[in-house]
Amino acid sequence: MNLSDLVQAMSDCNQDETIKLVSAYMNKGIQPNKILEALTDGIKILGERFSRGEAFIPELVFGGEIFKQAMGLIFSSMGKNESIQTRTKGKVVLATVKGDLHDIGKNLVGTFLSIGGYQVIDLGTDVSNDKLIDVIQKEKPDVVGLSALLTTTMLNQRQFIQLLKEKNLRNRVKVIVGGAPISQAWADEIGADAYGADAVDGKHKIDVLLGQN
Amino acid sequence: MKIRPKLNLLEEEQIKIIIEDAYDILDSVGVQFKDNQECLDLFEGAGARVDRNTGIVKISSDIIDKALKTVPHAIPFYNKDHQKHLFNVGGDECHVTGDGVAIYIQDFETPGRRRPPITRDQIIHSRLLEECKHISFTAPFLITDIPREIADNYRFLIDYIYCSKPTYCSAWSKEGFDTMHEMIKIMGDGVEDLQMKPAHVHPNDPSSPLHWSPVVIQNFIDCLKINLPAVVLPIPLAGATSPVTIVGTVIQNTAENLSGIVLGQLVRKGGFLIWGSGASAFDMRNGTAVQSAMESIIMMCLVAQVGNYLKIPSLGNLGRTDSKRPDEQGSFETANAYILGYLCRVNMMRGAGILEYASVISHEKLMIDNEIAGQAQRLVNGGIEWSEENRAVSLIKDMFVNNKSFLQSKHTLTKFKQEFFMPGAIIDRGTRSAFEASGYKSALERAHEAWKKIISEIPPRAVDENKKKALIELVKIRGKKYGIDRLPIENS
Repeated sequence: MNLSDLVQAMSDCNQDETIKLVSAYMNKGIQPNKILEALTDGIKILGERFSRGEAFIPELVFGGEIFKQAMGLIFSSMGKNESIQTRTKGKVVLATVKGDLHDIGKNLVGTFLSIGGYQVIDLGTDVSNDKLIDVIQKEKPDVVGLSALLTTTMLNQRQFIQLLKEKNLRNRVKVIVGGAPISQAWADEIGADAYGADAVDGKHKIDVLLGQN
Repeated sequence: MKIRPKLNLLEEEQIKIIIEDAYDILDSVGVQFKDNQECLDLFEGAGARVDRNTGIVKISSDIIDKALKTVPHAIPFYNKDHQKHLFNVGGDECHVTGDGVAIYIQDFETPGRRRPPITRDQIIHSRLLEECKHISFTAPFLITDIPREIADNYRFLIDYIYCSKPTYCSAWSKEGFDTMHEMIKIMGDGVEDLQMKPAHVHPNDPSSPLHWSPVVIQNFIDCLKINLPAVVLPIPLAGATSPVTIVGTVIQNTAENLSGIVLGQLVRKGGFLIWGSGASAFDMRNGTAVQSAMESIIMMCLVAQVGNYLKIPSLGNLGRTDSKRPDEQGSFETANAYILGYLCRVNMMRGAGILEYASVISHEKLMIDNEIAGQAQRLVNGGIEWSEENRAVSLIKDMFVNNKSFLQSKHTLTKFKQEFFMPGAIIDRGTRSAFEASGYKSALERAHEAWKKIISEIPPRAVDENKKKALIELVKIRGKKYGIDRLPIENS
């Protein structure tokens, strides 16, 4: 069955129509994988429109929210014996460093990564290095993305990498840093694997780090 | 009588509604002050409703009203030695400020590149600011030939030595703040009532929407304790960290500012505070904070208008450009901001000499911005002198009747310097032949030549050698923790 109407609704960021169609297809007994595929195709089209300058960040972010809502609906409607096969490009933990409450850049990176097929674990803002270490040990991400907007808090990025080394975890995870006062020179100085100048660049650098480009 | 043009973007009734809306936000949902017990104790002591678990503080109107009664309406600023009063910030006075948040510098010779700034760059920039007569505050940037951990104090050190104007700059840690305080005491050695003669202003940025981070709270409290003028400077990004609408962002910015005004006055009644805004349009295509957009300028001017209404000195991040070079875009964006900022009486406009989302410093841009500031000052400070003598009706008749040139009149001789702004060498009003003879130079090329000339012909300011030595020794104490025995400035 062709779910082109769902692809269209998703790519148009039409929340009501997307949710209505997901619900209708679930009720008709369409396989969850098939519905997920249509949603993914829709979000991919949206991403391509953004790359061409035809769509804007609010559409991308809101599209991500619709996608999450639709996924929630699918999961809640699935029978006990049903499952969804998902493949991700990699697992990325994102956080804003301790003492810093800014998150707009980090959130955008998360949106770009989610739309681009990554599993994203966003720890939010004001995240201590100890908490990050705990999450790395538990979740075993491929990449940690660390954001700092303030010159007062950027030093925590250096301390995080030092802590990774002390815990013998440095070789198990790639580290990308970003934020207004951050530069490639700073990333080099503290031994980060990459520097993301903005959200698009951040996603691109993670693609490169994981050989996904 | 001098007529000083003024622009009110909103009517008084609308300003009152903005303030009422901000009061409502503070009373009903409050502001989060994270992980600082001293701050929460102060709010609780004043009768605010404090949630110790979340740090959320709900502030009622009576607490805000009380704080507003004790905020000074103007702040006197002194030279770096704290001895000479230079000007006030507040009321109808407006001033342009250098911008120190850059992490790169662009050299004229390599417009396609930017590089990390080093000691020599800051020395040049501080010396240029000393000579920029239309820029009132200096603002040192990030210097990278020193460990990042002490770069805040090190940039003060260079700026203190090479520029006598008051400094706009922040410390990055408690240790940095305490060292900065010691540096201020060295500079003001022997001055009576030093805390009432500031030569330094410290920005403190709440994190929009409606949050204050621990380091910022601590710095802010510490500023008030020593009566260091403290700017409450939220940077809401319209559409991302505040409503996409101009007036919605102004209301949120106002609520954030009021929360800082209350905290500031709880720390020190009558403490120096500045009502700031870095409100920016969030670029929906590139995800950047655009401080040069017309919407950003409007928002910052509106926030200042609210501050003016409350009689609190105001500041806006005005004059910044998002251009990557000090080019035509850079010049017209800065001109838009300064002209509107002066007309709306933004008391401090921070943004001279900076490019690319406030990340790249440029000596040429500083020279150009100094000229733009001069012309904006002409518009507002120079104003329109209205008098019988200036109307000059009898002179017009006399010149006509006697067939004389106005150039021959004493009226012209005595008035022309008051009426006309005399631009610097960057502005070309010369003849075509002079332009050709000079090699067809653009304003950018002339700006480059202008700063080179200043550096080669005007010696650095004279500074007390004992103070200089004491400052260097103080910064070296911090430097030793990071393996620094000798500062780069000692080789200059």
